[in-house]
Amino acid sequence: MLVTTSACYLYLTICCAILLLPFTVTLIRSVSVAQPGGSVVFSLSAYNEIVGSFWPKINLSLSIALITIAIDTLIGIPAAYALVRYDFRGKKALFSFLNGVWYVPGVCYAMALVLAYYFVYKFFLGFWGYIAAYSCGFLFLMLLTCMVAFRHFDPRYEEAARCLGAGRLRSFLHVTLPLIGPGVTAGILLTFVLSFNEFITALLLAGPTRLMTAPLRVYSDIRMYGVRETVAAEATVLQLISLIVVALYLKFIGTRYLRGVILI
Amino acid sequence: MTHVKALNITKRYETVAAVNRVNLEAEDGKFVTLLGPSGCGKSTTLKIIAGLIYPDEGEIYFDDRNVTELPPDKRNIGFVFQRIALFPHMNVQKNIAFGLRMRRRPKEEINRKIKEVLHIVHMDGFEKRMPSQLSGGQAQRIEIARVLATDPDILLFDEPLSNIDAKLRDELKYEIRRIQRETGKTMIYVTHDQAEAFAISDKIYVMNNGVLEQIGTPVELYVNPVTPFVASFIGSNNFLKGRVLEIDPSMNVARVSSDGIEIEAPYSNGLRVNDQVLVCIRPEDISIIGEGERSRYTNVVHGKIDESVFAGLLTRLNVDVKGITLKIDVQGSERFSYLNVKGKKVLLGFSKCSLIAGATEIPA
Repeated sequence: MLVTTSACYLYLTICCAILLLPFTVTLIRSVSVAQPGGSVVFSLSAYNEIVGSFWPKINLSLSIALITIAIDTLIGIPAAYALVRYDFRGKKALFSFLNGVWYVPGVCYAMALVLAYYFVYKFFLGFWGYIAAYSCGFLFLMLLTCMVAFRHFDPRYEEAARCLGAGRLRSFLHVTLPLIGPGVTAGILLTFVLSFNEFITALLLAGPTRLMTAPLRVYSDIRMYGVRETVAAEATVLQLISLIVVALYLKFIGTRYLRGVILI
Repeated sequence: MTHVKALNITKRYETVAAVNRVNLEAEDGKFVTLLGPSGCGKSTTLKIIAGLIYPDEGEIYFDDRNVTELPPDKRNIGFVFQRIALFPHMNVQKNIAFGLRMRRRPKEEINRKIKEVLHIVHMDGFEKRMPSQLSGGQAQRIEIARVLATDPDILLFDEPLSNIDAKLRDELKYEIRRIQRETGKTMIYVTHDQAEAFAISDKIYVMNNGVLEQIGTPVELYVNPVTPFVASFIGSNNFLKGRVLEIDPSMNVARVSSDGIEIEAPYSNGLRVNDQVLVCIRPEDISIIGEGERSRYTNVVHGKIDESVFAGLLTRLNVDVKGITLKIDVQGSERFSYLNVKGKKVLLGFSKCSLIAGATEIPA
């Protein structure tokens, strides 16, 4: 019995270690500083070095992610509501179309955007170019999770609110939204993680504008300096932010609202 | 208090009419029930009155107001759902306050109202409970309180007791009737349960397949069903197909022949000789009698007991009369003397029975 339990724990530990390996390796690299004599010592100096240069990039990536979330929430919730609650001509086609982006290879999507931005919407370069690209590209995440939330939401609560004197908007705000809210958070989480860490689209879009997101900065630093400790420190910070967000989500909201993710 | 009128309402789903030209009227302060089997259109009718479903045809009036086009929040109604619809993210107090907050009432009034309606439904002190901490019966009481708090003109109930266990259901139906008497509000109640409908209604509309079958008080529906559906749906009945032999208009009595059995029955409509009729005889209206009692019954027939089943309050006998099986319910202390009586020859007497003109099929 004891042997089996220990074996299970050992197995789990190995699994976790493998999953955490990328993070652990970058973490170790970031704090191992080579001395002139050839010895390696523990030091946080790399983090000190990157504060000034990397923080603005993190800030930019966070802003892009948050605005993307705001836009996708505003579009995704009503769209999901309509797709779940009403029947109309071309509903399935519209649904497939809205999710289509997911099936387009990222690099093709990025190239299409570059072409579109340069030749059609010239004003869409830079910051708002990122926002437009991510709001479009990740809308389906919000759409699917919200659709799952609405499917699990019994319309009788809404009917009860209407009968008690609440108009459409107020019954939505006071009853529907609080009840589907946790489901929407799943979409917010996914949109955050993916848009914060997105790289391929950023690589193509940033080229001419020089507006670098955090992941892009890590990439270009690797190309320029190799995997030295400051680059590892940047990669560690980047991973840590996503890990903390996911951990906080799981702690306060749990896994039950992530069921929509199964669809993806 | 409001007078509700639904005129000719029709609702189609694709080509099927869920509700077909239904006319319904609930007078001021009356308790009106829509009774029928599941899928008969009674809930759809109620939701049309509430404004949750819009009819394809027809009009709804509250007093002189045409409300057909109004959304539910502009109708000042109360709707109690079949499945508890208390908002799970609000406690009892907030649930009850919801309708008042939507009406932008002052805080003191809301607090006073909460106390008042909780008292009406006998749930004082439950303000802070969450819906998940309430039993089914308690939740349904709170739901009624929530609806009463907004002081609606009309209360609508969509099978509010069907998910509640039998004992509590019995208690709650009288409770609803008591609240109706105390508040004097017009109420429309939907149920498939005949006992529930009979216990609480001033007037019952019987529906089947989207159409109204009959309107009447519980007693009228029971004694004088006008369609085969009503005769079979309400209570239980023996059906005999027959033909009118003779009519005595002065006494309003018709003599009917049915498979060699002659029956005298009262009638009230324009029946003619040779008309096809369905004779309905309730099992509890047939008595087993002695030879000396013949003169006390309009109709007397010979029969042989085929089967007897003891069901507690009564004993149900199947008696063969000239090849036709009649169901008979024996009540009172006599029910114990018919437990092992298979094959016994008996004399049956009955005076009460009703005729449904024009019906040729015995309802399933």
